[in-house]
Amino acid sequence: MVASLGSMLKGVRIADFSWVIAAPLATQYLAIHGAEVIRIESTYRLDTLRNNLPMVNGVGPNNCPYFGSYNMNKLGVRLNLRKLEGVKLAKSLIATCDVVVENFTPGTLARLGLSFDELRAIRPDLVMLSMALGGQTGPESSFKGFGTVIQGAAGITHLTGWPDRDPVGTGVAYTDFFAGPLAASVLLAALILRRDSGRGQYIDLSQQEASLYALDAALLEQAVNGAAATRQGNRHPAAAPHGVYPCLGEDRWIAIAVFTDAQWRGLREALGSPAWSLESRFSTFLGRKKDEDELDRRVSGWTSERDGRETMRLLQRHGVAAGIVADAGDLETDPELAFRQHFIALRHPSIGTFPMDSLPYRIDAQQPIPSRAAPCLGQDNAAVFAELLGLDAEEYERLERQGVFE
Amino acid sequence: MTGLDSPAPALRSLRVLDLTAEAGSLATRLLGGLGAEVIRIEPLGGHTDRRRPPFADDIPDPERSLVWYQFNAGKKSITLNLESEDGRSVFRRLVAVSDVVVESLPGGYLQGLGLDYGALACERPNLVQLSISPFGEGGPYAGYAACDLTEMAMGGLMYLCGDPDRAPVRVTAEQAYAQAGIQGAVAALIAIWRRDETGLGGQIDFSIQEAMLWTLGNNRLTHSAGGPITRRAGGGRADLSGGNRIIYRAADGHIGFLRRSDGHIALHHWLDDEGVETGMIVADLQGKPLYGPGSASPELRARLEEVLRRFFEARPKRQLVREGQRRNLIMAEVASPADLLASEHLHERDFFQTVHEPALGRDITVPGSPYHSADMPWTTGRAPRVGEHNLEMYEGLLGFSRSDVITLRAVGAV
Repeated sequence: MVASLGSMLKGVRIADFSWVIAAPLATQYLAIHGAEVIRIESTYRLDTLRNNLPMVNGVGPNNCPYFGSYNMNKLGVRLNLRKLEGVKLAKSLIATCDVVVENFTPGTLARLGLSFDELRAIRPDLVMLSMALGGQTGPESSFKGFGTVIQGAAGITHLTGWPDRDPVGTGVAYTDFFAGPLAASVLLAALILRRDSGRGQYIDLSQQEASLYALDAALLEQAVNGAAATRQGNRHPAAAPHGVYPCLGEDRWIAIAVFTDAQWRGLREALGSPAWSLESRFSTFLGRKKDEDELDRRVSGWTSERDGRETMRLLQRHGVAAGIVADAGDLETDPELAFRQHFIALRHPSIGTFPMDSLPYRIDAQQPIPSRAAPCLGQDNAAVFAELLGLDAEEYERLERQGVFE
Repeated sequence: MTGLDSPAPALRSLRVLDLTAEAGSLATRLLGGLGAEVIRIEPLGGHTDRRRPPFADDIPDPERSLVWYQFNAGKKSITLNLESEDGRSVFRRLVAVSDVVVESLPGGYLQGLGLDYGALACERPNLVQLSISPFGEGGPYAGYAACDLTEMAMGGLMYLCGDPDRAPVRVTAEQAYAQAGIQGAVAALIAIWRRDETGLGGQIDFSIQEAMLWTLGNNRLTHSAGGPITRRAGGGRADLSGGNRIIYRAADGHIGFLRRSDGHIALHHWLDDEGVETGMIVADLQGKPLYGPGSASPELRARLEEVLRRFFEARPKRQLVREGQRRNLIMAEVASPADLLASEHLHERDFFQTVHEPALGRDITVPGSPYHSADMPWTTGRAPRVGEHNLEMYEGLLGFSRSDVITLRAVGAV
């Protein structure tokens, strides 16, 4: 049945003009499940992820597994949209596609003659998804950026950090990792609607707006109560302790959360029931909350002399939610991820065999496994232009000489 | 094809039973937003999420939780006691007329009630069930207690967040639960697509820990490639950039500024146009790496940082971002919720919507559609009151008589 997970979306073809993370991540889910996703790239506008770290087995556009992370199971063609013939070929390709995905700066595709209206004329039931940072309209639609910065415009940076300090935001391009999956659901819904109605559509998805769904009730708190939600470090209104505590080793930490009285008793037992923990002021949640600073110091004192993983296991034996703050090395050796076979050794023509993340779920106990690593730049030009579009060798060479495939 | 002529919610023919706890209620919110009929199944006294602060007007009341409003807008609510035999029997009848079950209940809970996927699939053979759990089914952590904090920690994201001189830090909005929601929805829809094509349902075993590994950018990859472990860099990106700052103070808040090697001429002109005395030629840094071999000397880099710090600190954030963007610099506001609600950009795009909230007796402003499409409307709506749709579901959908419903209520099943 493994094969069937890889063909759940068989028959869906996507022309993917997107780049960097958010939009390629959106189509990544579909590609792993069998949608035929064709990345259209150009040497003149190399995906910044192709030129990023880490580089494996040499340095070049085909050596970065970061690019590989969001482009598994996709075909890759090189096509120069600055050439008229390139645009013509793009149109021929789109005429055979169900979906177009792009995240150019708004207006770019229209200038190339590839606006939705023009494309719908050649493919009447086309679904087109644009996912610019701030959407296609509005005073900030021309803004440029990356997720590391745009998380600020989406309210996430404001909510990350310590209350007594400047905000820090997440250390990653977080809006990409939020808007990407959300866009995948929107795209799947559009495909379902098209199948039921025969109608395509144009979707203007703003990465900023999508990411506002990551803020829990912060917008409502402002809108309804006029109160400003702000970053609370690691604190939680309904738990104490609820924090991250140092462990033995360099920069090693454990997260511990106590929501219930039973968990508090578990923590106390794990600590060996020291005298301070038995003081009556700690016996109630309100008491623990009131003296949370001291509680944190006590817990830190205990954890700082202990190994993180051992402490996690000890606390878990006492029913306390505890987990090491895993760094990259911990993830690679994590026993649960190993049990789930999370990392898939995928063979790439330039990179070689490299451990890639698998999708976070199993269906009927089967794991969705990509059958192919991300394409090298232009790897599938022949398959797409010759086999799919029927370009003969002579014509291909003529266009190639004109730089159409650069 | 049914030949729909007008815009229609995409998932209008889908019925979803929502048994989520904190994790996963965003998945059903998305499915509901896309048009599915989502039925929230609450215990008789109401779901525990209704106790979550903040509350409207700071009045703690199960009908006033803003967390409840946020994640349950547009859903329906029925009360149902799954721990009674009659309640389970009603639940099975509901499953028989539903398409999807989404649950994030404690591991083994549904199995213990005889409501595992196998049993439910007897009622509805092509049922799609999304089961969200901290680590997925099986393995050494399967029985571990977990919450958003520990899941963000064990999934690797937390190690990359925070100031270097303090502990790693979470986001004060639950991102492990949120990732479970958005990635879980994708899995459910892919399974729905297959069901519609082949008639085959399926059970999705979703791991929040694995989902978090999809938020790490190149950080795990870098180590797997033999590189170092990347660490949190405060207001910078957690990478190897030697602490290249991203977050700066403005006169009235903060901005994010991603300084790139190709932006130094523009930066030079900007500082020049504003009459800033820099004591250096910023344009000389154009094209040079920001750090490492070939970059400017540490003294020069420190001077530029100081110049930028003072320059930004003296100016309001909106003005900085508009001008920086005009000059092709990668800059964004660090927006607070108040900034977002006042955002001209979001207003011009009609992002915020108004719904009437009967529990408050007034209209409230809520987040609207995360996408714009003339052909596929998003459902906003308000969150349901406890058991608001009991009669509609039990009488209308399942065909119980009023006296049956009264009896079921009397025995504590609904």
